[in-house]
Amino acid sequence: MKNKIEIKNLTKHYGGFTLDNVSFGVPRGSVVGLIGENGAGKSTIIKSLLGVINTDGGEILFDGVPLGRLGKNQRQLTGVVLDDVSLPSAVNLRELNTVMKNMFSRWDEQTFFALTERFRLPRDKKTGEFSKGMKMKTAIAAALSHGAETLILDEPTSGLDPVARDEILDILYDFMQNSGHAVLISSHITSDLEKLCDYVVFIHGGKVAVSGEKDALLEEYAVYGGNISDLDPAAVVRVRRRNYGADALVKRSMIPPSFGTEKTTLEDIMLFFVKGEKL
Amino acid sequence: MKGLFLKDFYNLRQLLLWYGVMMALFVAAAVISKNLSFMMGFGVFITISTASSSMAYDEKDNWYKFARACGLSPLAIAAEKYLLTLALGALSFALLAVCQAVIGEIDWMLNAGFFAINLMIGAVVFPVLFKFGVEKGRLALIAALVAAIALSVLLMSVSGSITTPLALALFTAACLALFALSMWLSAKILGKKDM
Amino acid sequence: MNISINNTSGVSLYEQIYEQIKNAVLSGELKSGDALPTIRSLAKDLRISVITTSRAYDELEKDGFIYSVVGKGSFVAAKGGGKALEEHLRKMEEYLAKAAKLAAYCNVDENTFITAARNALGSDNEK
Repeated sequence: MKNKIEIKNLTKHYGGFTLDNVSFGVPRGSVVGLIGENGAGKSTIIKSLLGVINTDGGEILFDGVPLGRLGKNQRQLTGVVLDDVSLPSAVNLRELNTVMKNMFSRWDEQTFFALTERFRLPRDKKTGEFSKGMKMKTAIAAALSHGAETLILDEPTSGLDPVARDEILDILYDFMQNSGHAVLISSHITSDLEKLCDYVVFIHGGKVAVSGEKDALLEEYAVYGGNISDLDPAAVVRVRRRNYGADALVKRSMIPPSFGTEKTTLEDIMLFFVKGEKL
Repeated sequence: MKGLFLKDFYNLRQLLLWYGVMMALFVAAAVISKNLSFMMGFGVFITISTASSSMAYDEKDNWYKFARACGLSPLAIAAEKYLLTLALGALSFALLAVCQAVIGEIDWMLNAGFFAINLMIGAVVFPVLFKFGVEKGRLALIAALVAAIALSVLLMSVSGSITTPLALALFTAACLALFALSMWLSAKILGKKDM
Repeated sequence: MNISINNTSGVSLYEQIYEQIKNAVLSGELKSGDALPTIRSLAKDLRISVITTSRAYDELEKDGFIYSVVGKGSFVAAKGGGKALEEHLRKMEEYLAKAAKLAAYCNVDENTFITAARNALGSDNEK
């Protein structure tokens, strides 16, 4: 079965930054989390996927079709939530609905208002007066109301309180009850992704540092806080030296069971790769 | 594109109301004083200014990024601004004719020339605004508007005597072509932009 | 059905789900033919990846506790199927071992032991 989204050797040069040969896919029925620190290249990848920036190399395919060859209706099968929301601020939800109705061929007014009701968003207030959380929810409601099969979200939960983030997670789970859908979500709030994602792609310095099934990754790695010299060097992936000791990200399978290790989180993996060093 | 027009209409409704009121005053003044030049100048101002104001809203809202992400082509996005300008220009044209009729005689050649100049100014200014944004392109905008008012005053003073209908028709056709070329150029600029 | 997961325990998530469903089947809490939640609705409920729930269900099916019908979902398998039977036998032997140990401790002879066992079976059959 084709991946919903396929990225091959994506490359983009900016002034001081290069996105370098990034490749990964978003399988049908799955949620892929794009994690990495700010400036790592997540937004660049997403903007490339959405055709909002020009690229210097590589291929982007949606359901096997190159981005450049997608017709307007095919493009609308992808719902988009950008990190700066980007909706007209001088309109209220009723008016936004009217605008969207005339932009998308499969706009579903009922779905849109059902979602805005669920999010308790006022219909007669201008979106420019919404809080950040409300704007984000509006964008999500819109992205889910034009028959999209794939959702691409760029940092949809930054700046939101835990309750709002949980509500959004709920919505995404609902979207994924359909096994024909797919989600690509980027975030630096790894705790959100830790729950929902099936796969993670960790971007660091414009490259893919680590990627794979989320559960497998979290089982493969462990954090070891004991004496690092006791370990097989091949087992040590990254080390963070402190003033009074060091911690290591290790391959669990290469550590004797008697050595106490801790479960990793996505945040651990990210921090070890960004701030740690090789042995 | 209908969605884009609606969006601009919602964004601009306050502004358009304001312009409408001012235009009414200008019209009244023009009819009373039997001097249409300031009304014409204002007409050009409104036509160009409305499109650029809508662009300012779009920039502030980061709308272009969203529109492109949703699959709207750069051409559709650019074209909508041009068509908006065309519509307002036609409206000004009609208003001018009505005022002339009230005062005395409709001067079609003057009106056509005025409409053509409208188009020409838009054709020059819009690609600049698309490329540099409304803030940075402001200088170009002001220069264009000053030129507009000057040209319309000039046009008023030489109308009827110099241009033949054929020459005017050619001039108008040339301005339309320039307008279309500008639209294509703006689409190219939007397409190349990293948002 | 009542399933919960513990993120901090050393046991992997899919194992936790596997154990809980297995125990529910063995204890009779889930009866043969009962429908299980879909892997996606369970993933949503527990706030985890669908790959995790899918893996748990795959293992349960492999071991004979549940079966899946394409387009319909997953259901509890008939009693006595595959590994379920194995589990039951193992538990039975475990209990018997305990009883035998107790008998030895109390110096109960073999005949008394077997009579007691027959009584237990008999009384159970009457239930």
